[in-house]
Amino acid sequence: MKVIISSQGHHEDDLVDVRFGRCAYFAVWDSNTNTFEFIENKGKSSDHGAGLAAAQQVIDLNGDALLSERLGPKAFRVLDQSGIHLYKCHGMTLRDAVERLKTHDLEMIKEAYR
Amino acid sequence: MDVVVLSGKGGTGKTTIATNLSKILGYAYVDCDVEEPNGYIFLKPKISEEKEVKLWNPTMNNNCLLCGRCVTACEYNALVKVLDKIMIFEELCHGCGACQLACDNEAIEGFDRTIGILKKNHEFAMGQLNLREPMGGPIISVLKKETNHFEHRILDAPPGTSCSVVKAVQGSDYAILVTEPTAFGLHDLKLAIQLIQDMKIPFGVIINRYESHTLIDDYLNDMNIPCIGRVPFSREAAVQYSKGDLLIESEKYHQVFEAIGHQVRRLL
Repeated sequence: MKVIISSQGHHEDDLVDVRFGRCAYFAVWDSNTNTFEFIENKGKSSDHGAGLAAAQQVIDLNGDALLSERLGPKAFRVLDQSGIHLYKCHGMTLRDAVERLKTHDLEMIKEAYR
Repeated sequence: MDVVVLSGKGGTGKTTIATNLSKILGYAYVDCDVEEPNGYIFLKPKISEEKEVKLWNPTMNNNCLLCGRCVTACEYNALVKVLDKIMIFEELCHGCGACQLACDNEAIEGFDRTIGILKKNHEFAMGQLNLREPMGGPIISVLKKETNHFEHRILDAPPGTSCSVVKAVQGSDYAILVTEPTAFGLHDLKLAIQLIQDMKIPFGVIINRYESHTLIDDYLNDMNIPCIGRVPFSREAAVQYSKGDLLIESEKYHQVFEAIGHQVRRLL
């Protein structure tokens, strides 16, 4: 399984970024190797449509799940139709987030943040 | 000859300066503040022509192979590829047509979407953006093109220093920067000055709501920037404004604007 997480930094003990579209990095966790890989978020530097640029990047990464906190209306519309499972994290490290996902301890994101 | 009136900070009196000055100079008035045009309240024009302003937006036909070239080509992230389709976000589309050029399969058609309206007569024009539309730039471009035949124009720019301000300012012969004697006024004036200097347009500053020597005077002195007018603060002006009357209807303000008009004519 491949899990993508909006992240404030590029270490597994960094926190999940509350923001999706303008988060600093995307952490990509691979369940086979139990390792994290970090990719810069292209949306971060967009003048317009940061959420959509980020969503496209997440879709292109072809993950099974996305862990974040707040998805804007446009990003949610796209991700909701992409087949990726969306989970909500609040104030936890990337490692914690993955552990909680494994134990089915995360809430699903069912609507855009307002 | 085009004179653009801008401000950086909102609410400093752009429209007050622009409308009164257009009357004094006998220039046509063009309201480029398409998100909230209000010059018409003071000038009370009889509109003789109205037309819709449209923006091209892409649509996909069945030729689409989901290659995603259009998505990459879009500078504004208005296109997203999801599973079996391309989603289009019209509110982000600038109508540039890059997606259509990038497509090798003639899969992108398009349609013209109405985003606002233009109203004018022989000496007045205004653009008005429809509700929910986020982008004023295209209307400002059409507005300026449609009033290109006016010999002299006062262009009333939107507040701020964003793309739509740049659109309004572009090609002007002279710029008037309106400010107020507050710290906020000075802060945003500096941004507007930076913009106008980058665009290499000669300019002067008008201090509105002027009482006595202000922080703006100090700044302009230090920077050697010309102040072309000081519009006095008074209850009388506020009353005139609240009724939708031009300030030049009062003798005192008529003189103030005559002096500003004289300065502007001399500088052009």
